[in-house]
Amino acid sequence: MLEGLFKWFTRLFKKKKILSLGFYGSPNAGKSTLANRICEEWTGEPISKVSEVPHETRTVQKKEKVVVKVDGKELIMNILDMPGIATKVDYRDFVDYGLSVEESQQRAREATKGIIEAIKWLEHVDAALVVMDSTQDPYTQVNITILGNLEARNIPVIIVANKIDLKKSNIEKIKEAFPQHSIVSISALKGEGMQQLYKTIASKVK
Amino acid sequence: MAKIEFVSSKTLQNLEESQKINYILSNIKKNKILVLEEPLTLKEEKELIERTMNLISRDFPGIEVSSLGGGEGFKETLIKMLGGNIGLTVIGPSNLVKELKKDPNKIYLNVK
Repeated sequence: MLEGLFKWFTRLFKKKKILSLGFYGSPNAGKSTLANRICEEWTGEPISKVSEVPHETRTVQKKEKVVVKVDGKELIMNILDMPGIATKVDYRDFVDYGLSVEESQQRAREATKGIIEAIKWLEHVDAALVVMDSTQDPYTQVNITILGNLEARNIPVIIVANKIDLKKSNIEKIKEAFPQHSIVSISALKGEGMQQLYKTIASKVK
Repeated sequence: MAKIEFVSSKTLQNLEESQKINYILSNIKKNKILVLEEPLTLKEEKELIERTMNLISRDFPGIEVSSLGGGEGFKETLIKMLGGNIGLTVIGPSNLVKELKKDPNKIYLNVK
């Protein structure tokens, strides 16, 4: 009886932990599409702009206190949609998408700052989703660097194999490259695999 | 014409982390591809990307990098303490290196 009363008081006064969940990955892996899907589903509002032009997200986008319900429990998260991390940013790539030279150079400058910001945030997230485009080679130095640095800090990581709705998608390649990690296959665009993703996040951060 | 420089770990062993990154970037900006006789540490990889971003310009769009071996487990630390090396790193300017593809135990270098 006393124990039950104590638990009731603890629950009443214990502040619920808010989890900072970082979305990491290369440009165009689908981080913002996924962040938007989660935010729209649970708050009714998107978090980021999406575009086929790489480096659309050039500053960290935040959505605070997103409450996700998983198996009757609540997860409260600050969602942090990070700029895509790359080792090169060539303004000419943006010109190919129809941007003017001036716009492209400005975008490249902003993208480099965004990459530095995303790297600095690696130390400040409580958990991370490393989003990979499952139609591309996953074994890149960027993915290895992101995963290694998160692991070194004991930050829970889930690899999100995105774009499974596309024909070229190859989840096995991601599993082979990173067998030690939890991998969830989704299509952020179509909403496939989202329940499994929520369950995996809940199990990783409990 | 691509210029490839093979760098022994002896050349790098007395350099502090930031000096090592300086060495790498100053050579890459001279349009060289470097093959280091050691993998980069996680911290060095992170710093290399950050420092590269600060250097990006019209003429220097960035780098391609790939490491083999490494890891920071007990075995790797012990080998390093005993003066050994287990791995290598290939780094080049992205306006020269078209692609660095990594297979777990091989690196394929595709030059423009």
